[in-house]
Amino acid sequence: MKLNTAIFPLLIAMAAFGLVVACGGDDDAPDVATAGPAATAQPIATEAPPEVRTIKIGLLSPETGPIAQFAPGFADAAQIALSEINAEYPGFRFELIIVDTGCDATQAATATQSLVDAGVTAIVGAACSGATLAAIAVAAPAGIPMLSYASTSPAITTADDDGRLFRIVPSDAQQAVALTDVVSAAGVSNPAVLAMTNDYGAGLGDNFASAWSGSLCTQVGYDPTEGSYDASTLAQAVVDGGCDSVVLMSYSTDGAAIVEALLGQGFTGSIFGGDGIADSAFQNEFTDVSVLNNVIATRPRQGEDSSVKANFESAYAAAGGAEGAIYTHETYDAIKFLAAAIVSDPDGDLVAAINKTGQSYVGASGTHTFDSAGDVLGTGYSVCQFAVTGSSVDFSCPRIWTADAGLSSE
Amino acid sequence: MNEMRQRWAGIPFWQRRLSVGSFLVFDAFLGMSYGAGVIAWSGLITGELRWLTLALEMMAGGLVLIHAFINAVSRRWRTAALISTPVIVALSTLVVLEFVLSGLGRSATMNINVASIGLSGLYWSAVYLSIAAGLTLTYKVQRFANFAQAEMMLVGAYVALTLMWADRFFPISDAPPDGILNWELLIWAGIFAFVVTGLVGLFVDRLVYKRLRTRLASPQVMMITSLGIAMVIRALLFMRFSAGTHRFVPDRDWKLATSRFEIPTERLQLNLGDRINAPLMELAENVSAYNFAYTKVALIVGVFGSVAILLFVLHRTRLGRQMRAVADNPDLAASSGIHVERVHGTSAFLSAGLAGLGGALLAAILPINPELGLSLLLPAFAVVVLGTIGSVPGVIVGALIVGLLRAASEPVLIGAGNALDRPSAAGFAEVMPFIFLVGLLLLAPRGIGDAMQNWNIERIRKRRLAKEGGDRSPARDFSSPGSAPAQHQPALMERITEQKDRVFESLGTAFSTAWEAPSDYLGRLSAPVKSLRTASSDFISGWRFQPGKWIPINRETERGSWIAFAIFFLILVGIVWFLPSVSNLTKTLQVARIITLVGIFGLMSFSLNLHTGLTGMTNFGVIFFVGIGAVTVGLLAAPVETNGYGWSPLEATVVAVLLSAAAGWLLAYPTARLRMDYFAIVTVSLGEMLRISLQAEPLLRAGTVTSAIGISQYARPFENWWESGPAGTAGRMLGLDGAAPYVVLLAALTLIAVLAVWFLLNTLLASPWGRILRSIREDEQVSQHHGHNILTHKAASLAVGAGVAALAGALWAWLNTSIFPDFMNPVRSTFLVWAAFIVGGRGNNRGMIIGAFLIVIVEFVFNVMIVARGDPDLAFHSVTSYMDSVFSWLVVDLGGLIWSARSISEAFPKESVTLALSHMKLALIGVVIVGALLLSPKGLLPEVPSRPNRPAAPPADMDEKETAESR
Repeated sequence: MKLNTAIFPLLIAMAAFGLVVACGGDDDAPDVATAGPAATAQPIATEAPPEVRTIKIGLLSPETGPIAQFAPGFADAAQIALSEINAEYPGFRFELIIVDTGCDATQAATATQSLVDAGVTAIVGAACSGATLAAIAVAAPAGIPMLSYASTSPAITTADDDGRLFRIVPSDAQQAVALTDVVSAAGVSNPAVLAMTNDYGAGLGDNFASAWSGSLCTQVGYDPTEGSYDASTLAQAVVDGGCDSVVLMSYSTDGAAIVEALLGQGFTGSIFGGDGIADSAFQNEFTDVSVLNNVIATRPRQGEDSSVKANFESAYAAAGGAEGAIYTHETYDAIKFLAAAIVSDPDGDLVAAINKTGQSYVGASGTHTFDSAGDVLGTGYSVCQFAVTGSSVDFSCPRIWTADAGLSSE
Repeated sequence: MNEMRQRWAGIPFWQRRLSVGSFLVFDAFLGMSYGAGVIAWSGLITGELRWLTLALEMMAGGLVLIHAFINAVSRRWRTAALISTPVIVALSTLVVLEFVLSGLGRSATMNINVASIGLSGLYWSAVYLSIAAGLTLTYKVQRFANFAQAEMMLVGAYVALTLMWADRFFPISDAPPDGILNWELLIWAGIFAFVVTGLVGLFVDRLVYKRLRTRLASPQVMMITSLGIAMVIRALLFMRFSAGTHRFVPDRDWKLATSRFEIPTERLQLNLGDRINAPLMELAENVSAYNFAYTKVALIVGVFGSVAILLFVLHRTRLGRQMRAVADNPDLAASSGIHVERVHGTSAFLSAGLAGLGGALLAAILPINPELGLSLLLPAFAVVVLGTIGSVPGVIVGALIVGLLRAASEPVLIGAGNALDRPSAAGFAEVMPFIFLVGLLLLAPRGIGDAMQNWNIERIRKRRLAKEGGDRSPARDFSSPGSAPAQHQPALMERITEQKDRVFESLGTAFSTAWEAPSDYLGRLSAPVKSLRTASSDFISGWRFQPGKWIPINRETERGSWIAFAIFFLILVGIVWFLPSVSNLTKTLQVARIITLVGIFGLMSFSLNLHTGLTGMTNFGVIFFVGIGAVTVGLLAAPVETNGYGWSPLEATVVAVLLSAAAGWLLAYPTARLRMDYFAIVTVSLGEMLRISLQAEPLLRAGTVTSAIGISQYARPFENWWESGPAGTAGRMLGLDGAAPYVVLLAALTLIAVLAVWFLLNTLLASPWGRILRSIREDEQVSQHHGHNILTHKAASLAVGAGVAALAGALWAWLNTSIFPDFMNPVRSTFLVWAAFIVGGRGNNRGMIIGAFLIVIVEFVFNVMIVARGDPDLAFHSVTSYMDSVFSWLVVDLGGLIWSARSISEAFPKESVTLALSHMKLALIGVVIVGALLLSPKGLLPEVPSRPNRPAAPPADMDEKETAESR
């Protein structure tokens, strides 16, 4: 067999593509390369006025893979943050580079390498914990800090990251305690726990089970990928077990399917949940909103100045942000926070600037203070509930929970 | 010793099996109930692991006993015994659970709700069947495993959504609930989804598979091509409909919580383990009815109905006969006047159409996003295999069994999981089809469909015999000749069958007549397309680009292969050279990462090449062996205080490689008799089981004090040594400002590992053993005839390959610094390795390196394009904005002729329509795979046939030899 089967065109095309790409990169590669790694924040002044500095921020987003459905929300929130920081800091021009992690460690690390190659100053991400841990293994040696907006695994705290890995989403251990208080305050005694079998759901579910002092009706794990679980079966397990309430550790889409199925199987007990369903937008997941009545859910509490949150939410709605999204507040906060840290000391050590800026930083998802491991403690949780009258849904958060004071009204 | 062995061999096989099984069961029973037995006395295994081992021991013993039982029953009852194995295995599982629970002093409650299990089982059956029916049809007629089948289902779902958003139908979907079900949209969606998806299938068949067929490509090549096509279709759906979820609402009344049938039911409560005053089982009182949504009924009726029609078409119409003829022998079919290509087209149309219909109906139940199908594809393969590949009635039975089994396993898993502190155990329901399938294949290596077929043949034979026997004794072959009904039965049955045949025949004629019209129409429709294609291909061949004419290299000689390897390798290295990067440090990181990744994928491809390319065992579970390697290395090397074992990484690696090799060796024995397709499904099942175990099993977690999912914090080899000195030296040598990062050392280690393994494999394969493996691949019987013990050679091949894969897993674990269940996702591991294997050229280790390099580099190259979008300074930026405007034109202006403005605004809620480049990248990777295989079906570097040196070359070969030498 001769080599005439036109593999050559294919390879030549690829080589040509590589060359085109390389030429594109040549514009800035040589002059920065001579300046060494510290030059990543150097201005690349062409026609822009000399005082305007260009800052590139990378966003690792799971655009394909098991949680691809939430990626549009992350991108929308990030774009809002980007336009705000560009308006807020006139001496800087921020650019956002979004790359796909596929919720997969290897692909995330390769994507991070591409961000590093493009000369980003800081990286926001990733969502999946495995992706975050693999990405920091690339970013940390390159001297680039990372700020995750959705990785809740405790493994993030202990990661080998040279102090460069931060996250703006609180650990799930505390929320489990908050949930147990909320559930016992509601006067139920025999709750069922339905938890996703990913690090977020299983972590929250296990922590809830160990924090809950009374009897636990049943604890069931499920894979939240659509087509991997049957909500009716889960609901039937709750009904057959004779449980008087359900605690859901879910995202929003699967949470809605389970709530619908519970009501469909004639379940009449109370329903509690975590971040995935604690949002007014959760009602958009339903065809029939009446099932939402009296659903109670907790989520991280905003600080005293919750105007940041209100502003973000109205901007998100005005921009036509994706529905059923999760961790959009955290994504928005992560980018705005990084911009604030970069601007506070443009030529100095970014990690130090992050630690300095990250003291009582008021964001849309709460008031954040980073500890030495790069985690935020949070300022307690809001306890929200849905009330349905006719076809109108009222979503309010009348109570709060804090580690010191427990449950109290806002 | 020897004498004992001989005496042992002297005992009849079934007795040996019986004694082994009884011993295992008894020993495990001792361990569980009295803390005695081999495992307890040895004192090696303690804690939770001991209970796990005991449970596995008892289960294994039970399976051996069941196997002995099946083989011992008389021929007449064997089919019945085989069919009832699921029940027996399920019962023995419950018995094992009972012993474990009472040994631990715990109790589990399982609520077996009859209606819930039955109907949920039917729902799963319908979901699996809608993919599996098309799969099995493609298997039957076109003879390859079509990985794009799940995507066809998605296409159907999106057709339904598009239809819902159309101006004509949206008012129906959006109307407030009025208590009346509106069928209009649902029915139209079903029809449209069937036809449109069918046409997509036909289009893909004409465009791609037809070319491969004319080139006599192997089924494996077709399979990997379909993988590429699946990537392209999924990427197109991502691009057009965005990654968000959408709901198909045929009419709001369909989706109300009150839109349901109330099915009266019974609930059986099983109390296992340490029961206190509770009976083993009791019937619960006051059970409320099970509610079954209308949408699920629609899915079940729609899918089972359409598969029944398919069955009818296959068996009762001319078209069906033609399809079966082509399936049996395409050449003979062609010579007897059947238009083979048209039959292939029809089959592609029907396969895709069925999946599309299922997708449209499923969209009414589940929220849809483009990732939906993947989790259904592998269980659908299990269904196909269970029903004996290529058999449509078998696939119906397979789907029913798998669906019911999955639904029935859920309450058991929930009950046992709660009692054993494993609440995530319910996740195993997802892999129940695989666990069952592996168990069944070990018991009945030819699948259930085969058993049914035998039973059917037997039945027909008996009927014939009874007929020939005439009035003499019409019931002589029936089991109870004396009873009156048995005597009347044959005559009655005969009449019913005759009547049935007549009805079917007339229906068949009607169907054939009805099919003529659309078939003719389609033929006429495609005529201009055909002429256009001929014209275009004439045009292309006019100035065909044939570089091979300029540089003739025969890639199937040792020397040509090396030259081609060097050319490809240099081109790829050149691409790496030109990949942009901002600084010396980042370029170092980039190159080190590429080297490590190419090494890891190269090692995995080596392993696959040894198993599949050389020994001929279709291994679809590369990730299983890689996973064993990675998980062992991670678990053993994680610190003790975080649930690890605190070993040094090198010791852990040695153990991981040995463990994986042992797993490979052991796998050979039960699977040796399996057909290759079955072997593939067993290996893929093992990978999935390990993945779910990583999610659900606390013993497979380490790195955090709270035992959260995942393995992290494990030590990496030479990390401290590297940072204490050599890192600085290496940093200076590479011209870095500071110390060189660890990944540089990892790259060096990987390079050494790859070269060592490559050399080792080449030495092994050049030895007589390599020839034996190839002879097994070519023809097992001949090889056996020559006195080779096939089983041992296969086991050795599996063990060596598994060890290599485990090494790759260890390197991978060190590169990623953590192991999460998602890393075992076959889409991102096994499928990619298969793509590298097929594109690189199976049977040729040089090709493996090129294939792995290509797979790795494609990701980097396309990432550069994605990165360029956010940065106006990069030259490529303008290209991305140009692509955006083209895409916008395609979706809004051109596509707008087909779909409504609403369907655009639903997917792109913002003002501008932009192209998601990550999804574009997915499509391009798919195109690279399909393109490479279309251009070179044997791979870039085909296998070099090993020919012994001849004293003098025959004159016919002179030409070739000369050209080769002139290079």
